[in-house]
Amino acid sequence: MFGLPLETTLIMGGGVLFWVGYTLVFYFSTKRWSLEDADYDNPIAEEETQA
Amino acid sequence: MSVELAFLLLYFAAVISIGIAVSRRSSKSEEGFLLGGRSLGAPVTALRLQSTSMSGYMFQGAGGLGYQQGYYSMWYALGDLGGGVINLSILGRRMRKLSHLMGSITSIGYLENRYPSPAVRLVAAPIALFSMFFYVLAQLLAGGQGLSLVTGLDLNIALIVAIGIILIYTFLGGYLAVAYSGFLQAIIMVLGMVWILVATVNHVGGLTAGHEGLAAINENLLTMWGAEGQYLGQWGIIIGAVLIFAIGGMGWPHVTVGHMSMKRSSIARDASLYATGFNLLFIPSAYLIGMLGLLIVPNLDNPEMAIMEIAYVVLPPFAVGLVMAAIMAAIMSTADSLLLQTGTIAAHDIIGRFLKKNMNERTAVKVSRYTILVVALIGLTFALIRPPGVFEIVVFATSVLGSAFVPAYVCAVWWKKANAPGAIASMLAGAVGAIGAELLGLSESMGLDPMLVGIVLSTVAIIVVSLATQKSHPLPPEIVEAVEETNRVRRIPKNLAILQDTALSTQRPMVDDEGIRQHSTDGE
Repeated sequence: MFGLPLETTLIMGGGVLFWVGYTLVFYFSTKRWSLEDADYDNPIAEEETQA
Repeated sequence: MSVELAFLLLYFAAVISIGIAVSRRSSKSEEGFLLGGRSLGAPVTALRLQSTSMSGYMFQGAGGLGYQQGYYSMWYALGDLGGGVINLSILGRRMRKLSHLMGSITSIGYLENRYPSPAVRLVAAPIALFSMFFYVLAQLLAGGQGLSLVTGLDLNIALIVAIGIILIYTFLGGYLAVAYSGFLQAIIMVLGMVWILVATVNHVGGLTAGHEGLAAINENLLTMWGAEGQYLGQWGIIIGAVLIFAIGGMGWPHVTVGHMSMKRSSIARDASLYATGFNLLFIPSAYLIGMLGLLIVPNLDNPEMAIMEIAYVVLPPFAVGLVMAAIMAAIMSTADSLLLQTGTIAAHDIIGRFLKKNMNERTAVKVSRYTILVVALIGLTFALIRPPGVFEIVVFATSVLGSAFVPAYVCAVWWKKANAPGAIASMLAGAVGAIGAELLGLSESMGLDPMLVGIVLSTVAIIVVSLATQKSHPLPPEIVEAVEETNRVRRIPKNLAILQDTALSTQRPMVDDEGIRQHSTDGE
C-alpha cells in the first residue's frame, strides 16, 4: 500500500490498529469510573442539596 | 519584521500571558503552585501529558532518525503512539486516587508516602534530579538552537532569550501555567506538524511517489530493519525502541505528576481519547517528514535539522512561522515541566523534607520558585558549554528515568506487597542497569537497549526484594488499606485516614455510613 512493502504495511497498520483498539476498549470498559466522580465534584454544594 | 518572527513573538507573548494570568491563583498554596489545585480537565490533562512527553526530539531527533534510517524509525513511533493511553489506563485513575488518599503533592513525595521510608526519597530524588537535569539541559539547548535558526540570533543570546521566556511563565504560574501553556503548545505542535506533512507529501508528488523515490535511493529505507538492514533480528534493540516511549513515560516524574493534578480520577478516560488522537496525527508525521526529506533536502550535514530545512523549502513564509512556533512549543512544553519538576524535587523533596521542614504555604511556594530560578541558571550555564548531540542526551536520560521509576510507580498502585526495600532496590537497579548498559555499549555489542536492560533489572528487583522483606518491612496497615481502596471503583469511605499532608484533606469530601457527604476541615 502506498508503495510500501507488504511487511512494512502490515507492521505499521497492525501497530496503529492495536493502539486505536486498546484506546477504545479502555474507554468503553471503564464507564464505572464515573461512580467516583461525586467524591471530587463540588462537595459542599452537594452536601447542602442532600441535607 | 519577518512573518516567522511575528509568529514566534505572538507565541511567546501568549505563554507569558498565561503565566501572568494564573500567577495569583498559583501563589496561594504549594498545592496550587505544584499541582494547579488539582483542577484540570481531560483536554488539558491529555494534551499537557503529550506535549510534555514529546519534546523537541520530535522535531529534531525523530526527523533525523527517519532521514537516516527510513521506516526503522517507525518502531519508535509505534511505541510512542500508545504512550499516552498506556500511562492513563495503567496509572491515571489509581495514581490520582492514591495520591489523594495519601495527601501527596509531588511525584517523588508520592513515592515516599506509598513506600514509607525517608530512604525512598533519598534515593529517588537524586536519580530524578540527575536524569531530569540532563533532559532539561537538552531541551534548553534545543530551544536556543531553534530560536537561533529562526531569528538569526547568536546561539548564546538565543539560549538566554529562550530560557528566560520559559523561566518567566514557569516561575510566575507554576504547574497551572505549565499545564495551560502545554495545552496551547500541543495544539500549535499538531497544527505545525500536520501542515508541514501535507506540504511535504504534496511537494514530492504524493505518498506513493515519495515512497518510490525513497526506494530509488535505498530500498531498505522502506523496510523496518534500518538503512543497511542492520536491525533485522535485533529484537533487543527493537523492543527497547518500542518500550522507551510506550511505557517509559510511566516512569517520568514530570509526566506522571499530571495524573495527580486531574480534577477527578475518571478524567483519565476522556483524556485517553484526546491523547491517542493527538498521537495519531502528530507522531508518525515527524518520522515520515524526516524520511521524505531525503528527496527534498538531500545530503544534510546535520540530519536533526531535516524538518526545519524542509519547512523552508515546502512552506510559504507565514506557515514557516507557525512551524517554527510549533518547534519552540515542543521544546518549551517539555522544558517547562522538567524545570518545574526539577525545582520541585530540589525544593520540596530535599530542602522542605530534610533541611527546612516547617515552611508555611507561601514560603514553600517562594522556595519552589527560587529553586526553579537556580536550576534554570545552572542549566543555562551548562547549555552555554554545549554538550554533545541532543538525541543521545534525551534518550539516555529518558532511559534512566524509565528504568528507575516505571516499576516503582506501577507497583505502587497495582501490587500491595511492593514495599520500601523493594522500591529502593528497583530504583537503584534500574538506574545502574541503564547507565551501565549505556557505558558498556551493550546495544552495539549484544543488541540490548539500555532501557530494556534497566527495566528488566528494576522489575526483577522490586519483585524479589519486596517478597524477601515482607516480614522485616511490612507496609503499614493504612497504606495497605489505601492501596486496596485504590483498586476498588467506588466512592471513598470516610474511615480512610489522610496521611502526610493534612492540608489536602480539606479537598477530600467524606461520605458517612448513610451516604451523607461531610467535608473535612481538620484532616481527621
